[in-house]
Amino acid sequence: MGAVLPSDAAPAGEGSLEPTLAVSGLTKAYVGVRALQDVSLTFVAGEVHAIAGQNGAGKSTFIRILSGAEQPDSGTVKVLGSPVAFDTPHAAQKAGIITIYQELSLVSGLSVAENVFMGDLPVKGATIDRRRMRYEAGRTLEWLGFTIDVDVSVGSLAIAQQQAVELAKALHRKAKVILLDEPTATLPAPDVKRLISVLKTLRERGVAIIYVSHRMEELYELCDRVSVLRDGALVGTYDLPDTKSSEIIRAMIGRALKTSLLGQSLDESHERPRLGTGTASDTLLSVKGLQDQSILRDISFDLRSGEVLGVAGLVGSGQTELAKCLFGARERTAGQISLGGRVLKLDNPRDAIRNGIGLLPQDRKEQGFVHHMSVTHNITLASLPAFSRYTVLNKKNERRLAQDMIRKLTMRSVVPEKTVGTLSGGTQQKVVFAKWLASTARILLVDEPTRGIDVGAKEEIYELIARFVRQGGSVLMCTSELPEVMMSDRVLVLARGRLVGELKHEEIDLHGDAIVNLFY
Amino acid sequence: MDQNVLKSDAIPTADRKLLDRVLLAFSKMYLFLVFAIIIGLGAVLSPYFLNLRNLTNIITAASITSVLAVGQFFVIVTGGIDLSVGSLAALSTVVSAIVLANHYPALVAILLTFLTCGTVGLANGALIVYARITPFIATLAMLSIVEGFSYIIQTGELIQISDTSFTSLFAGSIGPIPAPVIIFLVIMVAAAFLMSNFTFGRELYAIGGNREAARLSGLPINRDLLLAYAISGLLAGLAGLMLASQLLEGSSLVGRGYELDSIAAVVVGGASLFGGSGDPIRSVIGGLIIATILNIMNLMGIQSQPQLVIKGFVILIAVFFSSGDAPRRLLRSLGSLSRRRR
Repeated sequence: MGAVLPSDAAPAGEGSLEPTLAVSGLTKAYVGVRALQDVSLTFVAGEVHAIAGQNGAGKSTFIRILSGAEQPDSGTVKVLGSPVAFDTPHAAQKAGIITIYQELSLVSGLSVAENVFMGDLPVKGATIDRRRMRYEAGRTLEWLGFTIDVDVSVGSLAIAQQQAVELAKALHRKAKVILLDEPTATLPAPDVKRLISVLKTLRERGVAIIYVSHRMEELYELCDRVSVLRDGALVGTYDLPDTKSSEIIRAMIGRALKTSLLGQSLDESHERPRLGTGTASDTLLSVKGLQDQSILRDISFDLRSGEVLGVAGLVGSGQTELAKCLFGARERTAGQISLGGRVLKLDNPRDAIRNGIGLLPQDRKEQGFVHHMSVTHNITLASLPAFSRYTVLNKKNERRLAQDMIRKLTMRSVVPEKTVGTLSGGTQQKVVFAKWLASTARILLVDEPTRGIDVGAKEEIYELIARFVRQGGSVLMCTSELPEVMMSDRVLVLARGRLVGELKHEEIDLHGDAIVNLFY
Repeated sequence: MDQNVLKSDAIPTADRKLLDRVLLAFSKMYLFLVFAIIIGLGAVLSPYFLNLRNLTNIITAASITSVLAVGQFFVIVTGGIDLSVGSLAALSTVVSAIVLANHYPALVAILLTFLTCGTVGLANGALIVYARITPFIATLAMLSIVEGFSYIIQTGELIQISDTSFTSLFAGSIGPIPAPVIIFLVIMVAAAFLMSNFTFGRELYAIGGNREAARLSGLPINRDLLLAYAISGLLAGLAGLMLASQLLEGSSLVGRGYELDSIAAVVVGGASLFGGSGDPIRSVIGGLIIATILNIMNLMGIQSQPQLVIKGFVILIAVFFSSGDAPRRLLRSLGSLSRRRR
């Protein structure tokens, strides 16, 4: 019975010489992409160790390996000095490493007590010992500072309470290490404070906590050290709160690329690469006082015709939400959007498309294209009326256009009948791009246009954007990639859903410090 | 996904395009090949199989399921399902029988039946689009409502149909070809044309393939879904008219099991229940494959209970092989098993 007492939860204890968890040389590659490269870290009992990094930096791969969901290509994991190999999530849990994902893994139909004891129900004779289960679950939760009725179903609880149940479950499993993957992403502010204080209590009891997040405030409030990953590699480990946040953000973002983009060289003497023409004229799209129900607050700006307007910010600052609002795919709670002086309703994507606006969504696979449909059918999807007469499709025209696009957008070795799902990420992005070219969009909203695309194809996407603008289009480019946003004619900086600054192309220095300084 | 791209990158471009075409053609022909093999098997197993009378029997018996399968396909391609088609077909027999029993002309009976069934189909669509009830539940409830309603308006007894102009329209024959066969062929070809050559068909594939991408491409999703369920309802009505003409009566009970037969046909025809794939012709072929296998078993004198068992296995095997990825996955897991042994 005493086994579930929180105070016993960390047999590692202080004074133990070996670190609770040590990984060395962790490497993992997916086809064509090195997701994690030679990462070595140690995690000690009684410490909150943050893992920070941009999207695609390798955080998720790191979590998946430690939680047993995936095996590394090479490298070792040691728990209290002895090497372990997890081939299933269950094995990782048995070794005392408990991962709490953003989407909690509770069974919403079962009671709080049942969830805490999930997979390990106490029995008395042949039946479940409900009395003991309820008592111990209640006690653990109380110790965490939560008074929750252990008999109610988990589905009826608020997210913060559900997290408490997850933590109680982790404690019940005698967690030595608790890994939290962006636990505050879906939490309202007061609950964040509460979670942080709970985690502090856990730290005092000698649990090693790995805290994955990119929210600077939380790192400073809670964490003892932070390790920054970038492009799969460890940039460094910094002591908190002694390190300045600018230094950490720099480590996350990296220096702007020294290599050439768009074939232009990049040093002090030359002009930096630029996607736009720099000859933007009159205002095309005008946004005033835009808000949404969650993050965006009072956003006003103009998009001029013939310009690339970058929207910079750390991940989760509201870029995606802004793009979706302008496309009519997300509800606005306030604000007016007008095009060429005319106010638009923009309450659905149909309206946006009719007005010549297109969206290259961040999540191509889920939102950009239809996996099982051919290249041709995906390209004409947003302009079917233009390819039909009395709703009868003109397949010859469709095919001709697809061949045209395949040539113009250099989709090498692609036939029009090919299923888009089988193409590489870069070619898929070109298909989505072609869809908006086919619909004769004048304004493109691009959201993280090169995410998940290899380097060579990235340049081709930039070239497409540049060409689109040269031919009279306008682009709003939301991105968390610094080198990318620096190629815009103008840059708007978003922080926590608010516009905090605007920079002209000429005002941006070689390393983008002018932009980064506005992030925090 | 990326793996394929990398692998095939090694092949020269021209060859690769050819390979793509061949693979594409094979994936389209695969089902017809299976159908041909089964027909060949039937010819070997029973001397009576290739008899013209027997073949006519198979295809006539399968015609009602085929019409329902085409209707079901319109719904399944969007990622939905329509469990109410069997009971709707029964409602159709009852409505037409009542109208005819009151000595209205056949045309009135037909129009009223289509109106009723189309409305119910539209109601299914409205429940799914506006009330956001999942298709399975909405149409399951509708199945019950429609069956009960048919029984009530039928007032208990079977209603005989004696109007020959009505019955000859749906159960007669034109020359040597039975009318039901003509009907289902016309419906099948029209549906195939609608799916491949009209914006509506393309939109249905896109909605079933990726609803969010379809929405962000500005497709009229609500309208299309309403139409898909209305079409399913109308074709269930047509199937009911054919059924009424064959049975010469209207009854609230005759539709039972047809919903599952139509779903089985579509699925054996290679459509995914997640939507976005398949086509009306293959859905009909799927139904014909099942019907042919049942016929061969009849000719061989196999009892009806073992037939059911075999039918179930046929569905499982067909779905396993037509769901593209499955065979590869099986091979891979067998491969990793043997590796683990070593």
